Amino acid sequence: MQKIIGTLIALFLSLSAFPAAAASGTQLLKEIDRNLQPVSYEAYRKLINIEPSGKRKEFLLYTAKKGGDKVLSLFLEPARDKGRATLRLGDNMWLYIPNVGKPVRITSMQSVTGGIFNNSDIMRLDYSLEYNVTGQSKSGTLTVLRLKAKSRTVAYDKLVMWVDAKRKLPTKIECRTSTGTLVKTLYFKDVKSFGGGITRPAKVETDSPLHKGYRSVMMFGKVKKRTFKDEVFTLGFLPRVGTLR
Amino acid sequence: MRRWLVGLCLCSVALSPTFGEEEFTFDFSEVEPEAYTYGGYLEFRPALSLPQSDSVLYGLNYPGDEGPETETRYLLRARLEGTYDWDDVHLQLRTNSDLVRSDGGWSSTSSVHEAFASWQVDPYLTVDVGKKLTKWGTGYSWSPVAFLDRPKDPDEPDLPRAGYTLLSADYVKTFPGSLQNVGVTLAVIPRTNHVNSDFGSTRHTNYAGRLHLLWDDTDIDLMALSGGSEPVRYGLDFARNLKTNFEIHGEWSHTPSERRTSVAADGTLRTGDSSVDRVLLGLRYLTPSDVTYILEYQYNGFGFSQANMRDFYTFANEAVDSYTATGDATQLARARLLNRQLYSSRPLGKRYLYLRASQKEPNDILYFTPAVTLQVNMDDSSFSVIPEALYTGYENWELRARIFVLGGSSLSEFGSKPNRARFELMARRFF
Repeated sequence: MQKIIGTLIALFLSLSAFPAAAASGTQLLKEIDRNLQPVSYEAYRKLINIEPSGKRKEFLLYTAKKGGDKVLSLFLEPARDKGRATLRLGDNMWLYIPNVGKPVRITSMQSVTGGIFNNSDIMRLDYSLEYNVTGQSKSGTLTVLRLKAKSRTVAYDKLVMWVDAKRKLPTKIECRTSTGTLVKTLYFKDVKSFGGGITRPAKVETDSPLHKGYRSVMMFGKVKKRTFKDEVFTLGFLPRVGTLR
Repeated sequence: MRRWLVGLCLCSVALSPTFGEEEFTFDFSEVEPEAYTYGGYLEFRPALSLPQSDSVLYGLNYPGDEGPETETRYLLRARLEGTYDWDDVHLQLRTNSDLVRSDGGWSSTSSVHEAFASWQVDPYLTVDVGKKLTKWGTGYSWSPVAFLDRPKDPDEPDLPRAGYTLLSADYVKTFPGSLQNVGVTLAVIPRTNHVNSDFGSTRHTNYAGRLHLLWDDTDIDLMALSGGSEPVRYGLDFARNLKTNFEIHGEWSHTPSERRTSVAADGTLRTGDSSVDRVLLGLRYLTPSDVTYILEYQYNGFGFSQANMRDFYTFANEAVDSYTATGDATQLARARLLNRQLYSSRPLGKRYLYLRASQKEPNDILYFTPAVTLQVNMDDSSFSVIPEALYTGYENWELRARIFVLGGSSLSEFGSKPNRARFELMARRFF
């Protein structure tokens, strides 16, 4: 009898502790979001796709973000892609190609740059907006968060995030499908201060078991807090994104 | 021996990934904005065509003659563009120059595709004046609601086109909630003998307007055109992502009264006014294996029925026969003229199916995209198939090979074409 009561108490304690752990994980995730990207900011990014032979292809982008769900990017280099612009409003994404036509809808799993980064990586929203924390544990000095997508429209169903709990920044994220298959791994490196209270990894590398030997790197520069009018994040503004710089 | 072992260990450590870390640099001078920008591309496009000597249009080109066994064409294209930003004013220029060497000799064309000034009055309001593409519509292969643009080439819908000279104002406002954006565009398009001379057939000042809504994650546009140079038109389009990898779109335009001319089998013209509807329904789907499908159904109420097209091709055949029998070129000249004026536009028929499938980087071959495009005239079952291979792995180069294969009965749209196949290469260098 004592054994049964003991088991019930233990079960009760573990169940009541779970929401508290999830709540603290959610809070940690929100702090990670704020450290990775301010609520409203602009930045320059360089994307480098590296083939197994060592051959590289580089892209230079200007990015603006406002709130949790508005992101736009403008390609500055190479010449072939110059002037292309992408807009993300929540789950909606568009690509504008100068000369060709009006912005066309694109999907999060496609990639406007080729390589391993897809559109949702390039126009990433806050993790806490797209994912719920389903588990939290310790791995050495790191905290491990297990995340589950809030809806089926999110590019990766599950994330496993290794977090430097002191800096509240990720060091590694595994992106997995609903069945647990590893799609890609992101490595966050070179934490540095960009001024204005922004300290974050200046480099994100990725590889994928689906593309063995290929790697992609995203480097950040001139990350700066800035406010924008909502109208900047509209289809009609895409041809004029360059005027924000 | 010990020194050898130490050396071997050092080598293996040096070759490990940790020591093999690459250096990536980000020079901030690369991102300094400049008031001027310039760029463009140079393109070389050789093509080899295999004639279809028993086709109707081959007969019109080479009546009673043995035409060439193959036809070659070399296109050299220069596309230049530049911008200048001065405070809230943005100036833009895009030009296109083609130099062509074909079996008929040399030819060249040059045109300004866009030349306009854009004044950003505030984040909500923009005023544009000059020659500009308006880019209305959500369709990929065809846009029946693009009232202010020249038609797309269905064989290459992404090809740049020239705009029309206009004055336009765009107003946009965003809202919280399910109605996220509202935009209004008003445009004035003059048509004189020198300005927009191919915009409709008569000189008038034309007006167009568009209401754009992003409502509950769906793009919706309502548009209208009036003024007299072109028939009055109304239209709507929509686009929506149903899933992250699945998008649907559509367009509908209605013309209350539009004049249409067709050719009877004896060569006489039949002209009448009627209301015309044009519809496009499409989807874009990305499979887990990175194949993108674009499937579109086109209904072109202005197009010719299968019977109309048979009548014209019958007349053209008889004109060729008459010329070869008598040497009288009157009917032949008339058939050539009517072909150029009435039977060369696209889409020519009423109902089409357009399918494009492209596979991104198959077998991990980065920057390589094979694709195939199929267009079927659903009324006469004639078709065009275009397999292609695109490689963009060399920085600022685009290399593409395409093969056009046409099929159908002799009195069908694609079966009547003068060539049965065409091989085309393209090398494009951006700068």
